[in-house]
Amino acid sequence: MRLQQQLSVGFLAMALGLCALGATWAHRVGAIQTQFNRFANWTTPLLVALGQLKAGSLDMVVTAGQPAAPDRLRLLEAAYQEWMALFAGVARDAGQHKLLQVVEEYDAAFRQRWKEFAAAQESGAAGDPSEALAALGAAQRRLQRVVDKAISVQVDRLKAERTAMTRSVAAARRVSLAASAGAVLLAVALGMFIAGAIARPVIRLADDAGIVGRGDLSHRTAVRAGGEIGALAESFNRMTERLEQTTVSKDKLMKAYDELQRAQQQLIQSEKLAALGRFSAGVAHEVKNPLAIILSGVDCLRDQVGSNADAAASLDIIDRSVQRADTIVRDLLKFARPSELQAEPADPAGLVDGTVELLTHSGSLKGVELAKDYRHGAARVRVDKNQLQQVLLNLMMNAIEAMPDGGSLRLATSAAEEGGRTVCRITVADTGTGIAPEHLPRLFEPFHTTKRDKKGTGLGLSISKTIVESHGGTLTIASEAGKGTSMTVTVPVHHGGAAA
Amino acid sequence: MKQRILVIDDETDFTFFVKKNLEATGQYEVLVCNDGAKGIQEARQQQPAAILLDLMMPGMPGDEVVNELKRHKETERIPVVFLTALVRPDEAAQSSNMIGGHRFIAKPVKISELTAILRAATGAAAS
Repeated sequence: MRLQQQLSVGFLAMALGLCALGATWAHRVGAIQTQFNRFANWTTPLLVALGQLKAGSLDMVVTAGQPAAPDRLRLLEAAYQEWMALFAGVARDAGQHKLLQVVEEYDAAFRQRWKEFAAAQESGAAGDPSEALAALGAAQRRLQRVVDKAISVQVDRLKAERTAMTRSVAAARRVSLAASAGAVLLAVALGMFIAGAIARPVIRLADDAGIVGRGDLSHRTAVRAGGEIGALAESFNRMTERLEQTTVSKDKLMKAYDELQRAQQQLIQSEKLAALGRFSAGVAHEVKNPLAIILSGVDCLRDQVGSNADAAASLDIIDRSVQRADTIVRDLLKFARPSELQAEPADPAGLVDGTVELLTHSGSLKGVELAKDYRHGAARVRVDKNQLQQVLLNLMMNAIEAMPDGGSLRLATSAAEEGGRTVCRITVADTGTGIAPEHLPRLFEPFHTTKRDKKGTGLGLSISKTIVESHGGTLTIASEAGKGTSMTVTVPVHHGGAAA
Repeated sequence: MKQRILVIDDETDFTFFVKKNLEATGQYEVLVCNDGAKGIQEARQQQPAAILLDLMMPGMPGDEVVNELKRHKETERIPVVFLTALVRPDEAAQSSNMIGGHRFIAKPVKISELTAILRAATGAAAS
């Protein structure tokens, strides 16, 4: 049922209830009034007639005892008869037949005595008028007693009727008050019921809207109702569903956009590296030829300088410079054309130890305190040992160079879950000078170097990163200026075959 | 008796020093060509004991020169040593210093390395 209809029906029911109560009360009061009016309609003339009968009869007896004109007696008799007729009529109308019968009986006796008195008075000698008058007085007293008794009875009845009416009116008032209170209570209860029936689902909808507003877009309202509230609940659920779909689509779109951007960045980086590779190969070719000429020239001059020590020393310097330039060009070529991987299973600890051995032999670890912390357990990696050791050597050399006054070189391994796969991490950490924050983003850029003495070509970390990535891994660096640097190689764990 | 060596390389300064250095050893007579096509003609006519051949040259590159030499009977058996600026030491080690069945050496090269590889090439050809 529609909300408007619910409200209309509810208020109509309240109005009908109140009308019914009012009509009941009006009917009850009307009935009491009718009853009282009917009683009063005949009781009053009855009492008046009875009183006149009593007074008239007494008047007749009193007048009869005195010398009076016959006309006056006839007038009194006529008045008495009229009142008796009036009484008889009222009593008959009121259904007071028994009373009428009793009064008529004593009336008849009284009138008989009146006739006898009148006859005695007219005849004079034929009878004693005083006896007839005494008999008339006795008959009047009997009649007066009956009338008094009837008046008393009627007055008592009148009192009783009045008391009953008062009670009835009081009862009607109580009923009216109770009905009014009941009507008010009914109206309040009906109002609360209707308000509750409307407000409950609205409050629940408001709570549901709050939950959705706080971000739970999967939430749906459980409000089920007919009419406008039901339509509102259905609209709410449809709206939330669309909002969720839109948000999910937006999230997917944003994710796809991020991935696209990442891919684009990688592509740009790859393109840049490829271009740099082609450029490096060209440079290498163009540089190596003049280097070859210089070195050949040095060889040629050696024969000619003979025992001239100064000239020989100068040629040595040129020779070393050519070798240095050649090293740079070789690194460029390594960067431009990485070697093909010769991957095989390997123990990470073996790779680290092998690299440490190389450094020990070359005396590079002098003044450096080594701390090994191998926690990779039985995890093995599948790598090109030479290339990965080249990476580790590069990282360790960088670490050692960052500690010119000595320090601690920590070499740690561990296995971990990362991005849904098991990886092995090899960390090379030093307590050296650290890297300034402004250099960190450019560390892997080719030719970027922080070595002021121009010892490096600026290609070491670029080559290392390329090698690690060709193994499906990552190379990351964390550093704090003045505290040290931590470089971590992360490569996938190898799940098959034995370690070499 | 001196061995005749033909050097084919477009880098004239390089060939100038290589000629001087090899001849200074007293073991070699060095002929120089700075162009691939001319080098093939020189090889046919002079029949050198070995050819030092640059891989990257304008006009006819080193690999085409070798193919041409192999197509003619009079030059097919002359040992060739490639000179290249684009081979890394580890690549050289992996391929046992051979490209297409020929020895090669990476620039820059010392005279001692050059004489060693020429001895190997001519020795193998003689055996």
